[in-house]
Amino acid sequence: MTQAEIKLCSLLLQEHFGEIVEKIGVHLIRTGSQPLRAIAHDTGTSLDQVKKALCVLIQHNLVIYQVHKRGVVEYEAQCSRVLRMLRYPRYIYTAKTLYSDTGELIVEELLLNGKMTMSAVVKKVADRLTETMEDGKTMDYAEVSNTFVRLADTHFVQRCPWVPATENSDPGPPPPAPILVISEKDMYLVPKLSLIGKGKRRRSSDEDAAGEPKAKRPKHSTDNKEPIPDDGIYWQANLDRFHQHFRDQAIVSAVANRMDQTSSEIVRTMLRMSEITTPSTAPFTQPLSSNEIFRSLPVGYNISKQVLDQYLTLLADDPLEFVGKSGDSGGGMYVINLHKALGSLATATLESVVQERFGSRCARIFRLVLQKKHLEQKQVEDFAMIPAKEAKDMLYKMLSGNFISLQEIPKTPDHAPSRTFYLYTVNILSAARMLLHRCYKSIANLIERRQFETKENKRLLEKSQRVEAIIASMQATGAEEAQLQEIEEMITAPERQQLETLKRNVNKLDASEIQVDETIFLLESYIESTMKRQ
Amino acid sequence: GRGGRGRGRGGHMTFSVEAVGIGRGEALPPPTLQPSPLFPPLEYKPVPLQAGEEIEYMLALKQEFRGAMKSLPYFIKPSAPKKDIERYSDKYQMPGPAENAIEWSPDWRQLPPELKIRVQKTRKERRTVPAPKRQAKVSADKEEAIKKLETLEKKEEEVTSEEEEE
Repeated sequence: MTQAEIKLCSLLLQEHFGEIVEKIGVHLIRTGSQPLRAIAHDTGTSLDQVKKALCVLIQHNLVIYQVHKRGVVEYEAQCSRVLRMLRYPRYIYTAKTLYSDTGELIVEELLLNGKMTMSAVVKKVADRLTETMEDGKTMDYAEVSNTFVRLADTHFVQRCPWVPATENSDPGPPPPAPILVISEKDMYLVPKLSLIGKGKRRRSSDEDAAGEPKAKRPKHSTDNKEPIPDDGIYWQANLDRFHQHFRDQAIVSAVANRMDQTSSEIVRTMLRMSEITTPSTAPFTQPLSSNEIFRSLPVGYNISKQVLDQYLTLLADDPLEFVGKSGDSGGGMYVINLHKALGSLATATLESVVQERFGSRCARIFRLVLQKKHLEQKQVEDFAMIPAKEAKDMLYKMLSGNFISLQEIPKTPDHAPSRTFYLYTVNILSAARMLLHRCYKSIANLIERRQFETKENKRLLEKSQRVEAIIASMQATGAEEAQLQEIEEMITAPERQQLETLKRNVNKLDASEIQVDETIFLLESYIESTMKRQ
Repeated sequence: GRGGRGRGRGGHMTFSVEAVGIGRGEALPPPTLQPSPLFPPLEYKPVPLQAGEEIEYMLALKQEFRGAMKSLPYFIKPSAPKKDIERYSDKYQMPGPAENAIEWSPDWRQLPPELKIRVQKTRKERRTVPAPKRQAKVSADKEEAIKKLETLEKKEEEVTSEEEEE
């Protein structure tokens, strides 16, 4: 793990779980697998705090445990999984676009709590939805259940590893830790539940207990003494499935940008057809015949078979090679070249960065070297039609930024410098890695700046929150307009201005984080796909 | 190092510099003797951030998520610093969570037993707590808090009535 990744993990853990969990988490990321006592000793934290932290981390699928020889349990952190916390808003938003508000809240609850039983999710989501509905209306558990089942069927949520049902004929000494298993076929199996009920609104008497720490609230809700029907069956969000969806989205929109709406719809159809048949890490989808594609086009689409064939041919001939032709049967067999598509997307990202950082003439040189693979200094000047001095300057800028590298090709076995070719080339994989590393650093900077801005204005923020709370309680007890005005004026105009500026800045920084994470996703997908092929 | 001696170019390099385009007699830039500046100047203005409904919504989701996490029991606050002197406001503050107790109930069937915390305090024993007991304990805490507030109220009444007499 690079320093940049560790730093980013540290910031994410601290923001979401507090300093103690951050300390333990970062320690495990740095040192690898460790047993409980070693963690406590090395971090100088009390054993109880370490236990608390580990429970939280395991609950959120950030740490796993393994039983080693002599019964020692060791804990291991998953750095890349911690980094996924950046993407949570995107997962939740995607669930909203696919399965509307119900889906959105289901995924949000699963991400907030790490693991939950289906019945707990359904109940919580029904309650939350009921809060937002008009007076007198409630959300039925059955509707939430249905959405949950659909999410499970399309693999967006999956079962967590579970304790296998063992026969108690041989009760030896209890194991140092339960061994959890997971089986492919049961991973999306929804338990047969008959959840009957409706969401409940929070009654106002609950809200009066303002002094109570919020932690007590979940316990209030477990009023019922009924046994939980799906006890022990936990669900989590399936991040890989979301990633597959994002990848498909990226490919479809790339095709739409490069060609037209119809081509992108065809590609979308092909990807949809391949969702179940092709594992997400495959370099290309299973071949689909033109006839099959024609039958699977969305209902509204009225293009004739010939037009479809023309589009498919165009797509297959495109130099970007998103679509490839793999045979002639069935009217033509076509595949989507997933790996090539990811490569093109990563390359486009690199080109865009070069353009925005160094200018469009530099970008021209960059694209030139990409296209020709290897070029000498002189050739670059000639092909790009840029004067030697400027071309040199630009090449060196890109070289020191590690976007371009120098390849030595010796003419003689003794590698004498005067008899060696020095060629400029773009190594896409290493440039992508470099850029990815930079993205991690960027987000860490963005988070630190946001925390700094918030801290600077802490006093003012607290004051504003107090005033809001006072206004809210006064409104609830029916205060007059004049009284409310008076309270509002407790915050002066310049202070209001300051708060506005703070809000704008924090929003900008947060939005930047989201945008950088999109780039991270593309680069990571490309790198992962490339590594799998090696 | 290789390019370390920047004066003129008396030093020899391991490769032919003509091949990479440095002409004869041309001076190389001076060596860099310090790390790059913290805020290097930007040559080109960055492209504005994406905007639109989607981004706005995700922004709201992000901020709400962050806020929600801070108030869930998974957020472990560092233990309160030891009090230096007894403060007036201490009477009014709710007793915080016991240093050792965990504030949510993990499923211990799926965790190594070594992670369970043995809590000393008799009032807040939280081994494997079934639902009814939890509620009883919560209301016990509530009652305790209410009693405390009531006694404080009474004390205050005494104080104010004393003041009035003066």
